[in-house]
Amino acid sequence: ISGQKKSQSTAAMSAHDELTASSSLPGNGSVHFKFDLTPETLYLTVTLVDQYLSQVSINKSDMQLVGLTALLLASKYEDFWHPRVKDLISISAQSYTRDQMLGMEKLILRKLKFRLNTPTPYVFMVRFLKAAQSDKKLEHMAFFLI
Amino acid sequence: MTEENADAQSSLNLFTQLVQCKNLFGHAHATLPSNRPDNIEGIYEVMGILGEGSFGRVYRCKHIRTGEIVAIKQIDFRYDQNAVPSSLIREVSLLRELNHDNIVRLLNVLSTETYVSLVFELLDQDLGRYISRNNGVRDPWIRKPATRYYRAPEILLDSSQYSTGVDLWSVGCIFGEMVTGEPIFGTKNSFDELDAIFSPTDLSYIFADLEPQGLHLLKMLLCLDPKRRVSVEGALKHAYFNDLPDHPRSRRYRLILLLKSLPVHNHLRTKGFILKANFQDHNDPATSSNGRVPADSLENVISCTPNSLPVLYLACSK
Repeated sequence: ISGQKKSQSTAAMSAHDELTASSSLPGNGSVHFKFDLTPETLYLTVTLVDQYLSQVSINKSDMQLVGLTALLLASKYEDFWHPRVKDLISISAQSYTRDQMLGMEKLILRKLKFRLNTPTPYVFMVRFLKAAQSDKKLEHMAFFLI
Repeated sequence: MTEENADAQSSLNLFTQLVQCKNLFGHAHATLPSNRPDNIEGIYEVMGILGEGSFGRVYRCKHIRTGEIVAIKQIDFRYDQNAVPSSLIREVSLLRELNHDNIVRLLNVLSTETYVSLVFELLDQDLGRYISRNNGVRDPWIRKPATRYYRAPEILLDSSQYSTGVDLWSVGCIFGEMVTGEPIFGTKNSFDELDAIFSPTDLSYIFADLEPQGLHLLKMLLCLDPKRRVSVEGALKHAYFNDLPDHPRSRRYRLILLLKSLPVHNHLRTKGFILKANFQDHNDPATSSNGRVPADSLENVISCTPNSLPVLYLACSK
């Protein structure tokens, strides 16, 4: 059983590598920028995608859906406001329907058992930079690295 | 022949009616059941309704296998075009991580297409007794409009820019209520609420019993402009608290306690949460007369935000 589990998770990992290397996440960076969301939201988005993909293997064509839905969830949890589903779909060039996105939203919530408040590197970095009494230069460098 | 036709016609009608009924019931079943269900997801047996609110219902349930008694809050989100509301995401995510004697424990989350069932530990007998004594619907936990009385004007006017000032407004409302014994902006709906807030009134006339310093602080808390409203730090430094040989259960001590509880939970407040005191005061029959929430414990209602649900119970009176 553990072997099976392992192969599943490695499949998810390789899918995940593909994901970070290619389309969805760097895309999400700029999407996130367009929607004027906080950095916390971006980092949480990445964490949510990671966690979801560690449990579920998905088709490559659904990557963007997972990414955008994670962004929706992260901003709902973390931000002052969240992008409209309509706008997220238009960013995907209408690749998905509203129902697909809302279905994915529930699926991710169910898979993650509604636990969205996971620590992200951002929170730690902010704390460390404060403790280090950093200047702007160090700050930019640090955020470039993570 | 005509008779046969008539028969066929009527059976066809009956058939369409049945189909319509089926659709009707099918639809009703997909959303929150209109009647009390026998069980929830086949795991919990429903024993009774604890309360009802705008979000859904709270049931008293028994775990079929273990016999554990719990309270299950069913939150319906079919009106949000089936998107999961952010208040729900925040409430559930945070409650999942919290484990404290004074906070209601969330034991499990069960979700379906249109509603989410939150399985809470059932607050001990006292809550049950409190509810039954007051005909079941007086529980402030599930009575959403109650929180409206403490809502700041900027929230009522639907500003998306509100900040920690909304809590200071709430403190002002509660402070006023401690003096008069009833909600100072207690109205039926948000429009009346705004009306009450913006109607020109002389506070010194309404709060004639209050010391001049207290009145001054109250006016600073109930400042309409959130930018000019007093801060927590400012309020704590107010001359009203200068000499404190008062009784520990006095108005001033309670107010200080309330103000001091604010900065501590800053993180939760920015997440749009309502913090509420637990029900321990209600054990005292003297304080929970005539079905109203005793003014005594209302001072523990800390913060109010428009869409969130009151979930966290903090014992500030301890």
